[in-house]
Amino acid sequence: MTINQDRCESVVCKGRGLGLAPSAFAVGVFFLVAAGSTAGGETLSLSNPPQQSQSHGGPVMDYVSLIDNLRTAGVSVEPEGEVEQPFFSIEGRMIKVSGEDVQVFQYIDAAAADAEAALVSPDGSAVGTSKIHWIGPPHFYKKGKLLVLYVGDNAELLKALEAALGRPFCCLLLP
Amino acid sequence: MKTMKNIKLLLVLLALAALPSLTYADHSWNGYHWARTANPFTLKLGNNLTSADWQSMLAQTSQDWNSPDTFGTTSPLLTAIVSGSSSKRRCPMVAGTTQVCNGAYGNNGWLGLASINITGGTHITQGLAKVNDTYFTKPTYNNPNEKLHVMCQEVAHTFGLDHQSTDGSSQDSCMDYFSNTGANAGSALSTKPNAHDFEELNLIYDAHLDSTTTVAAMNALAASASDVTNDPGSWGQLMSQSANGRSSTYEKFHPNGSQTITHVYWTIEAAANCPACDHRYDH
Repeated sequence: MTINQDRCESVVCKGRGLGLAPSAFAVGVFFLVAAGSTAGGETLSLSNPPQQSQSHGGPVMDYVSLIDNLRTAGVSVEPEGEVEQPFFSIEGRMIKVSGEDVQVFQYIDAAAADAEAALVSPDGSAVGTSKIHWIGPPHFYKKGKLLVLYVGDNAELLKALEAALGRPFCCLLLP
Repeated sequence: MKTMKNIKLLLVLLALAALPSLTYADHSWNGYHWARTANPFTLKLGNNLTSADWQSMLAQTSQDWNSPDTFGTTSPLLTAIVSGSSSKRRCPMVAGTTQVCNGAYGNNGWLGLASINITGGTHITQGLAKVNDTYFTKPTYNNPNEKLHVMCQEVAHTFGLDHQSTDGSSQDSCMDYFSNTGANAGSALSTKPNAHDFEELNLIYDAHLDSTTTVAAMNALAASASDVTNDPGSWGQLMSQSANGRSSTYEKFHPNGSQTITHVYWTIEAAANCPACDHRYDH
């Protein structure tokens, strides 16, 4: 079965990311499967998350275009599966960028991403009512409906992420 | 005239010097605190840990936070280890307690994470402290000092304490961001609370009492009410231990509100491996 890419983001995200009750979420899935692809954009298989993306060109707007953008810049990117953070409301996707873990959280829209970004403390040591002991300095980026987290200090990777996503909105103080 | 001015200046300086060191304590986490009607109070730490090693870290952490007398002070908050709510890694919260868990939570970038639920904007109702075995099983982080540092810190965040420092330097408090790894793996710095941590707890909890409590009562969630036996698991929580590790005092709370205190005198061999550890778990 194929699902329109934009709707696929909603489907593969946790139901709670949409604020949907489980039964409403299940109904939504059935409707989308029955309707098929109705809008433009790349279609994706529900059971096969994107491993290779078709080039879109242009700025980063979503998970696929982020990977595309990084690869176009000559950076190696390998999808690694899902990642969970207790302080974010949705599951994310882990990508290996130049051999390092980068976490990508794609929300239903920019407003939802903004709301969660607002929970991150200026030094990154807290997100909402969670305190975090990081293994290295955290760097949070926001671009449209994406929140991206890299924990580490690889200068080349930081440069590549900034080129794709803009300056990180956090964090300044943690070592 | 000049002499008078100098005397006044000297008096001001002396007055400033006499200010209590409480002015140093400034690491409350947004004013979050447990609601309670009296001090001191005992916060239950639910032990969901799956290894003897982590359990000894929790026991040490609890003992350290119960030892303000080390710094000649008192604490409004004491801890008691009780059976955890779940053996599952997700480790659900339990009202009125802090649940402590370990698990392979993934390469998500954190060694430890503490979460609290709050009501009314400030009152903590339940807490969670997690340590991430995905990293702690790796050589970089797999040492007792780093483990104790993170355990001590995450548990204390659920008291309402923030970091003392985040720049990586050691304040010799487990509430700093010093890393007990690499060349510092053998350093015991920053693995326990320091005087300022107890000062901050006193500042937070002595400021006022509340008309209600969010802390679970001790007798409501006490561990099994069976008698204390030769089984070390029946002795309750390690409360204090001599410097050479041979003399240990355990305390167990019973559902009816009574307590049993057990004193153990260990053999030289039992204590030698790790004098500061709870010898029930360190061999």
